[in-house]
Amino acid sequence: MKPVRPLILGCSPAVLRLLFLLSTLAAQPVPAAAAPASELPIHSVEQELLEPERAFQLSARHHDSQTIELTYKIAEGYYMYRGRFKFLLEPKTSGKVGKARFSKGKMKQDPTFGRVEVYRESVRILLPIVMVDGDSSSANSQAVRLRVTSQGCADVGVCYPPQHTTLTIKPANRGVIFPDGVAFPVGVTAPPQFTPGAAQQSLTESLRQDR
Amino acid sequence: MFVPKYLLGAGICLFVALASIALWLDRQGSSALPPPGKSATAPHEITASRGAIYSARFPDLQGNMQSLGQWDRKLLVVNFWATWCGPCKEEMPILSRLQARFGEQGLQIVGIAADSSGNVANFAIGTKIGYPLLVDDAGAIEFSKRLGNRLGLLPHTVLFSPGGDGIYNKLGMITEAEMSDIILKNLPIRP
Repeated sequence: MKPVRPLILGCSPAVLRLLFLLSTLAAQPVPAAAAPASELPIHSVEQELLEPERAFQLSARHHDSQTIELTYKIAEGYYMYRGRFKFLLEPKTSGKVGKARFSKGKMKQDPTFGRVEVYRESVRILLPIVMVDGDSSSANSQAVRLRVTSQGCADVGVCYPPQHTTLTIKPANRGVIFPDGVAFPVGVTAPPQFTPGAAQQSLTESLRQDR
Repeated sequence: MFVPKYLLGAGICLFVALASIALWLDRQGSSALPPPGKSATAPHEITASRGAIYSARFPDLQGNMQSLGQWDRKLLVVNFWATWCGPCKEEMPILSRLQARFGEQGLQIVGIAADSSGNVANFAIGTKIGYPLLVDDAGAIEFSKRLGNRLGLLPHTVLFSPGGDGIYNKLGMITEAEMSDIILKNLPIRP
């Protein structure tokens, strides 16, 4: 007597073989030529490029009563352009940003811009902030935001688009940089009514990423 | 209700078979996605379909809107770049040479700058570029992201066959050999 082969899932061996073939076909990648671009696997110079906030890590603290110190810790294999930093106070009427002082970088030859200064490992920026003199109960009691724009690249040959980070500078009675109720006329040094440590902590806490 | 065993078995088999075929067809409809993982460059969103890029429009250096659809019969290379991107500028002579070499066989390279038109115009004065340049400071990066460039990094180069299917998607600098190889295999007019 011919042995009876058990049916699996009610299917004969021939049907099972067909299903197996279909399953192996399904596992094959579809030829790239048939795929819309956004579905194409992207060939990258580097598979593990860092997120921009990890490649260029910003920290901020109060340097003195009128100066904010920004420090970017730059990951190995990445660099930042000095000429691509921008600083802006929001709202614009709240004050103005003075001339930034940068730590010393390295010169690099650029085919378009000639010799440009770039930073590796880190860059330290001292940024004078001069608050507009005025009604202390309004101008200085409102939160002021410092918008920082930066831009860098990776040595593997890619550049990040400009990154925008906003620091919130809150009134002093909530523990931040500018002492409460004190106006900052141009050229006048603010009274030292805060502790740098506390200012640093609160400023860091108030870092706002607006990417 | 009594159902014969062989009928029940055949029913299950038919269901499994149909489900398998449906799964296979579904797989065909999607595509070769890269393996999931921690790669920061993996495409994350699938929005475009065949020919979808032809509806994209960007201003040229004179401010006139140019549609990518005008090159729908070409082997189209879209190169995203910016004057602030050193590697982008380094690869531009390669793109100019490729355009000169394969232009008559149906290759069209287009540069889309994530930059101001002023910067690009200044750059174009001092540099010989053998293909059209379009400019869109914010829109270029957004468009590039839609093509799988999650972090909006530059340079980014994508090849489209005539008809608008994506053929090759490259993040970072291209090489002349790599591009020549793919272009030769996909030219509409054989050399």
